[in-house]
Amino acid sequence: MAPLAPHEKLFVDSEFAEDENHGVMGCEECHGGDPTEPDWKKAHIDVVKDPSYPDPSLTCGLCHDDITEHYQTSLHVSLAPFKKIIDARASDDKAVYTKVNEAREGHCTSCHSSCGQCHVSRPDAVGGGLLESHLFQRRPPMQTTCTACHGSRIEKEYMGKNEGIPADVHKKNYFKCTKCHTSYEMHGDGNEYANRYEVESAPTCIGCHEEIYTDGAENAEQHRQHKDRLSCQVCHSMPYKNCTSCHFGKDSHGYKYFKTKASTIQFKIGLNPLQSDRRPEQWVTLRHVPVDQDSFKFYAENGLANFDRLPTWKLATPHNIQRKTPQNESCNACHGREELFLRDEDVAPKYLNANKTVIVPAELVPAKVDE
Amino acid sequence: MKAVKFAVVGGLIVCVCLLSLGETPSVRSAQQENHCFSCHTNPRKLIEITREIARADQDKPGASIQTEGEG
Repeated sequence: MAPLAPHEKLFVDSEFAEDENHGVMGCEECHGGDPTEPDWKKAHIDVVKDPSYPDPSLTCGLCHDDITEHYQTSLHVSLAPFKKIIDARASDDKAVYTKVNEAREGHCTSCHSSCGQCHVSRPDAVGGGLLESHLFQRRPPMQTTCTACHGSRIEKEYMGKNEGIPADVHKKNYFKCTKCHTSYEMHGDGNEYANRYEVESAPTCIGCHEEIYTDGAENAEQHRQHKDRLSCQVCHSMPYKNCTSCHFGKDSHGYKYFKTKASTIQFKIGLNPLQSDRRPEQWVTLRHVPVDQDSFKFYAENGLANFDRLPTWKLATPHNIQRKTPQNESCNACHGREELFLRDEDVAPKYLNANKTVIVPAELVPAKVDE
Repeated sequence: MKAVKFAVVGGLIVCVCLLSLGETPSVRSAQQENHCFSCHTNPRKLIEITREIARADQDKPGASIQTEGEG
């Protein structure tokens, strides 16, 4: 994503005045401030940079109330899964928990989005700056909004930026994020989902590829044999990025920082930690997330006292899908190949207990078959 | 002749009154310059102001230099 110069971040295209919906409103109707004041410092007193966060009901919601109705349940706004996951791991000691919760709000949950931070500006988390000089974007531009935040893992996988790994087959077909991730998924639906995989309007492979089990379909037999037993990504994703050891705090100037260890490109099949009617598969791809027992150490000693309650290898849907992958070349390209599966030796000793539900015991690794 | 003079003077008075009192406060406000729009659509002004802000903040780093790794 090309950076913007400071003045470019604030430049408004005079064409905005011709927007028959938003352009007829005075700037101050959404942003506050005093448009009659020639001194810019005085004019900006009480100016609201993003009028759609945290409550868009008196700005965007005045016209788009059908969309903002469930705004607070959009995972991009609430980041509710962060709280649920950190709460599960956090100390039961109230004083320690309070410190962890404050740190979570200051660091993890500060990377939220809003109506404005997708449709008008780049997200604050990546430095902000107006998109197309304040001309409202009905469909958020992929590289300055979606992958501006989802850059380290999703963008690099999808665009083929991880060395030696091609771009996702959907990218090659010119799919933007919004082709699969629709506004219904982004805007919230009133349900408080525990994680993004539960969201009813989230995309599914079968939503487009419904023919794969039908007679005459290519590889129909393989698809039928493995249906509901392993996720599509187990056969169709390439090695993907795994991160470890995120620690964060504030420096001597009071600025927030984080430190993560070098990420690794791996492919690991493990036991599904979120098995459900919606995701019944036993086998899924797992990604290591950067949480560490001492992630919150700057704020609280042993803040994640219940660290082992959740695995650090999580259900993943890598975005580097290929029709042909090393593991689907033949039956025995996967069956009997222990190195593809998450085993004890792949897990750092201090994380073994946390991951016992997703690690694959030797006896469960599918045996080689006669081809 | 007097009647014509009265009519001209009266007409002028009415015109002056209409011009000076005819504007409602909202009309006058709309005719005032909108400084938000005139400034934010003017790259030269924005460059001057953002440079002024940068000079004022030159001793403050924009973000922590301790950040390492991928987010």
